[in-house]
Amino acid sequence: MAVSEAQFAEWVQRHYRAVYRRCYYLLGDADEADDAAQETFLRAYLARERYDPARALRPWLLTIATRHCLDRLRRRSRRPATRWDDLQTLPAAPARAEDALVEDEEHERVRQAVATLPPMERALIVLHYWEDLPYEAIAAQTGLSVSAVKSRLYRARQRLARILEES
Amino acid sequence: MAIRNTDTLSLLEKHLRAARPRGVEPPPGYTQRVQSRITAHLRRTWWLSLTLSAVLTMLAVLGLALWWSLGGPQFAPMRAFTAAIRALSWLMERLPWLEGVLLVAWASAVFQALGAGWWLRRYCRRRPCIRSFPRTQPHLRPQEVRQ
Repeated sequence: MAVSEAQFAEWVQRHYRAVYRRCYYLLGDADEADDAAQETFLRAYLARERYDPARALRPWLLTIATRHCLDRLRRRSRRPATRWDDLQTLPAAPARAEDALVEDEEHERVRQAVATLPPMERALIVLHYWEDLPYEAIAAQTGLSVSAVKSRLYRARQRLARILEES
Repeated sequence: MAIRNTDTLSLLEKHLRAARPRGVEPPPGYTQRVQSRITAHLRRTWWLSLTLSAVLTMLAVLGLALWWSLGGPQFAPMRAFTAAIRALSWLMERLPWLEGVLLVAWASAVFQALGAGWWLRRYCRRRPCIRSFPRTQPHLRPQEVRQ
């Protein structure tokens, strides 16, 4: 399929946020997520002739993004304290300020635990719990079979429970 | 610890869903950044292919010149190779230590090549511009992508 420059610019305009969010969830770093999102669009641009217009565009872009981020995570030297650094969490209601603070700390603890998981397990947790994707979509985007997704998600949950229990 | 308790599992799932980062937005100006990245990549590819074709042309011309200077159509490579081997064995008969020197030089060349490969791999991993350069084909399978 021939995609014109204008069409591609529209792809970027419409889908960059979703791709960036996916990269950010997976990598946990704003700068690296932006770099990965740009790389995703570069790869999409180079492979645009192979894009099948009969299929939805966003899952195709997110597949490229997910696999690229997985590559990055595998290459990255182990950094145990990956920060979801510049989160703009929603403001808490003034009456619940203290509760909200405790809740934020608890969420941060869970995010840190997710960041210590091996790349694929981390991706599965992110796609299933943060992106709410069904098993079939996760399988398609990660290149695993549906049964492998289920069993590895199970293992990821076990590991996460252990990490949270120890922390 | 294996999670067998359904309550523990559902609590973990609840915590996981609640811990989803919120308000994640890309920095502004992403359209221009993507555009300039694509332009830079295409320019690099163009320069590389130009350099590569120039080097290959130069090598071909040099090879042709060498072949011509060695006699052109009358040049017999096997005869030259046999003569070189004969000269080497003649030298080794007279200089017994030469065999050891050649062996050490060969081993050293192998180790240097391995070391250079290892260094190049590390170097390319640290430099995203070079790392992403040869990988122009994203390893994805669009036909597998389902919503």
